[in-house]
Amino acid sequence: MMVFQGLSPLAGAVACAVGTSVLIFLHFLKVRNPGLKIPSIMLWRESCVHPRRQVLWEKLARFLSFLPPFLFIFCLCGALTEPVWDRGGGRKLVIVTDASGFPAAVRLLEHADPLRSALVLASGGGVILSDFGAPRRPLLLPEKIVSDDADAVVALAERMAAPGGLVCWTGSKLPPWLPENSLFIRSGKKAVPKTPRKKVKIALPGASPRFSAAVALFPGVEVTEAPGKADLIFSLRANGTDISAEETAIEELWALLMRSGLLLPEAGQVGTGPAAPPVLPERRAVSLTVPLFLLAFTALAADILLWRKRKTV
Amino acid sequence: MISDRELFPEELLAAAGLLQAPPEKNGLSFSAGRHRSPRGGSSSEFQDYRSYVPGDDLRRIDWNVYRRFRKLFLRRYREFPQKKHLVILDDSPSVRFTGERAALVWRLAALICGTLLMNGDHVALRPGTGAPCRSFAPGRSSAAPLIGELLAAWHRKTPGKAPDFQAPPNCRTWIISDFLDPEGLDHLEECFRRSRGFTPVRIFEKRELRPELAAESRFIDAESGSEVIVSPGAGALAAYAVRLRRFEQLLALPARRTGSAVYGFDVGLTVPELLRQCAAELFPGGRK
Repeated sequence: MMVFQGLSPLAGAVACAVGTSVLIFLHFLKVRNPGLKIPSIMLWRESCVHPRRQVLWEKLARFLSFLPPFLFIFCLCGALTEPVWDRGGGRKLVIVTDASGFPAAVRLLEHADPLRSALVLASGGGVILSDFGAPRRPLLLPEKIVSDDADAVVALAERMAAPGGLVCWTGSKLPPWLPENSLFIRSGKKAVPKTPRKKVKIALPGASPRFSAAVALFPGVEVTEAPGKADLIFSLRANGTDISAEETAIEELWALLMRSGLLLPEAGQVGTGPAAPPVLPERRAVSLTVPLFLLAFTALAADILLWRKRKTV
Repeated sequence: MISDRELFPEELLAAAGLLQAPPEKNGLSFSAGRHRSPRGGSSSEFQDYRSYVPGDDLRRIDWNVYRRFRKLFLRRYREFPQKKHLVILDDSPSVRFTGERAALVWRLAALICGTLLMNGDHVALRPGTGAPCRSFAPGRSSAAPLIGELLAAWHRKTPGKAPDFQAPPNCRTWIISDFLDPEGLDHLEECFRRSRGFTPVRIFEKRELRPELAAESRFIDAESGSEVIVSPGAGALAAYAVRLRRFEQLLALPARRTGSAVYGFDVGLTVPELLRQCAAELFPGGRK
């Protein structure tokens, strides 16, 4: 799947068409060498003057000379659209927010993988504020927010994150239900403890006891059974059998929270966080912007070189 | 446009002997040439004696010598054979390209023809290939017709063709040209190989020897109208130098057949410089 993070594909196509048209127009407007009359060109041309054989290559070469400038324009316009070849894979993150959790959601979004993250406003049936791979622009909270149909929004987020993606809900009100592999950040309460003594309450519904016990060992973290009182709710797989998947999901979300500053490790509390740096899923997307720029300027260099070479005796 | 007086200034005509004929000296008339011959002739210039053999003309016996030595000797006189020359002017567009180029060809023709005529030789002038050939007898009387013929060719509106380099037998042929063949060096070589041999008098411009290319140029042949695009660079200039060297080697080919040299004259020469170079190279012995 190709994702364009810069100019839209339509704008790129228009720019390409305009550039090509200008090039063709300039070609016809090109100031021709007026020619210099001299007594004789005998010494300037090949001693053996035969009628030029119009071999296939000579016919093609005339058209091939247009190739580098056209390639330059195509590649330049293509590079300006900042295309990313998404080969699939990786874990998607869908951030759902209501009005109160909007700042936290934006901070999370800024630190998430642009290709893998989307922001959905829990308004009505859900409004996608930023889709996967969309260019990062400053986001403002829409003025008109209708009463949300939370069920529909959760379903939308789960659908967007599928398969195997994560849903992160920020807001003051707990959604009616949380899909598997989801995180709820209560924005009404401070996720970042102001005083060192206050611990972050984490609820882990659906997690295995072994995993809950492991999380409870984190300094500054208190595992609670009551989701209504928790600052963070990690909703893991219901069956609780896939421990490694749970760990991976927790690590990803934890790393994201740390990066975004929503959960800062402070001295004596979450000082170390996870023992090992979070292992993020391999990003299987390739940005084509730089190769296209390189190709464009290579074409430009080739055009200049050919232009110099073909004007020989 | 170069006027007739600018084309043939007085100093040039004087140097060619076409302005003022030299006095008849040594009792020679223009009915005889001025080149010495090993054979005895009938001129009034004494050469030597030889012994009488029966059958000799008795009128040639020197009776004064007989009176002193009692032997019969015949007086021998020098012979001055007349030579014939054909002077061909190149009247092609490449020569007519600028007034200076054409003027140099015409001036050289006047100088060569005048000097040869004053040396007592017969001169035939062909102003351009295909033009009628006109002969001039040696002597002062041919000066005015010669100048008239040259001026008529000078004022001709339609340019002629490049010479075909064919030299007739029994006369020395001079071709005054830039020798730039619109059909290329190979054609020129073929013409030279077919030719009997002639004395090439080449005109050139200094920039032809050391061309400079500041920018890409599209050159158009003044004669054939064909074009070539040349880009500045060592490659083009090196190729040009190779062709120029081959061209100069080709020019030596017809010259070798007549035992003469290749004479080159720069278009930028002033008339005094031209006269000096002619005197030094073409006729080093001066007019006889």
